[in-house]
Amino acid sequence: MPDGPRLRHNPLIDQRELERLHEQCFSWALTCVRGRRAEAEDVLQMAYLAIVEGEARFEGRSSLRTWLFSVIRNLAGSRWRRARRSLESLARIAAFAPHAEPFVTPAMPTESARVLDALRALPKRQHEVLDLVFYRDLSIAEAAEVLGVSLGTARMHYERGKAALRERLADMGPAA
Amino acid sequence: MNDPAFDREDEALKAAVRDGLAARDRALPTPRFARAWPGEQRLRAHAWQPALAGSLALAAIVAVSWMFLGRPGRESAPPDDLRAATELARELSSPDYWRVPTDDLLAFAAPPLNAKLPLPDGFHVSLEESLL
Repeated sequence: MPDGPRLRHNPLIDQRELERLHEQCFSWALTCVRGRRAEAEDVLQMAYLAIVEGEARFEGRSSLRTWLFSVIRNLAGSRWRRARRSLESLARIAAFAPHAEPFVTPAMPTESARVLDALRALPKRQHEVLDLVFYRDLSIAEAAEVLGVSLGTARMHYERGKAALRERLADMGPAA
Repeated sequence: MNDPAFDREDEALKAAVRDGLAARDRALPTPRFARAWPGEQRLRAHAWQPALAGSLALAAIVAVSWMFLGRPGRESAPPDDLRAATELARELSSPDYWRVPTDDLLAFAAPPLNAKLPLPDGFHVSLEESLL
């Protein structure tokens, strides 16, 4: 574990440890905002600011990575909800339909694009729990902590997510 | 859960998800840590800005109050008209008010009427006669 400078308002956090986890945090932020890069950068900056200013305080009750993921997810959720509310209001006023940034880039292999499309179509919590357990190697208990739900609920999302993903991939057929 | 076929299916799904998300992460590379990190020193360097903004706002409020309400603590002098009217009211409220006609009261007299009355030629009534 790196032994770097500690944060004034978050003395249990080592800045070098944060730097080491930065890539994983950005990747998780991408998942939380459904692949929008600019949004993910904003969310990560907000999370770091909250950590530096001590608004989000790490007390060592879980691993730093799990805690960081939950901070990022909460911030992305609140941002997302605010943005969605604004867009819904706009849509009501001017029949405006928001156009999302493309989630799947053309440079991506077809099979990956297919899996990402299927993942994206899942309910948010199922998508998140599969990302945490399959891609980031968290246990279901740790995923439950990140999502702020009970272990039983996380397990239910995990099982349903797997079944739904299998079904969607089967419906989509083999990659071209 | 111990069914090997089930585990194999899970492993295949896990590998597909991993490949998909890894491809996404390669396509959207991570920005440098320094770009996202606000840093305590950077925050401290900008800590004076809210204080400055607060001071400027306070100064603006004081200036506007000074302009519209006058200097605090200083009793503003009443205007001349008000002073004369107050004096007149005091004199008229005294028991010998009828002695009062002062310069101030005369100053409030109606202006002379610059109009000629249609009187017959040679007809003249003095002021004294008109009062009798």
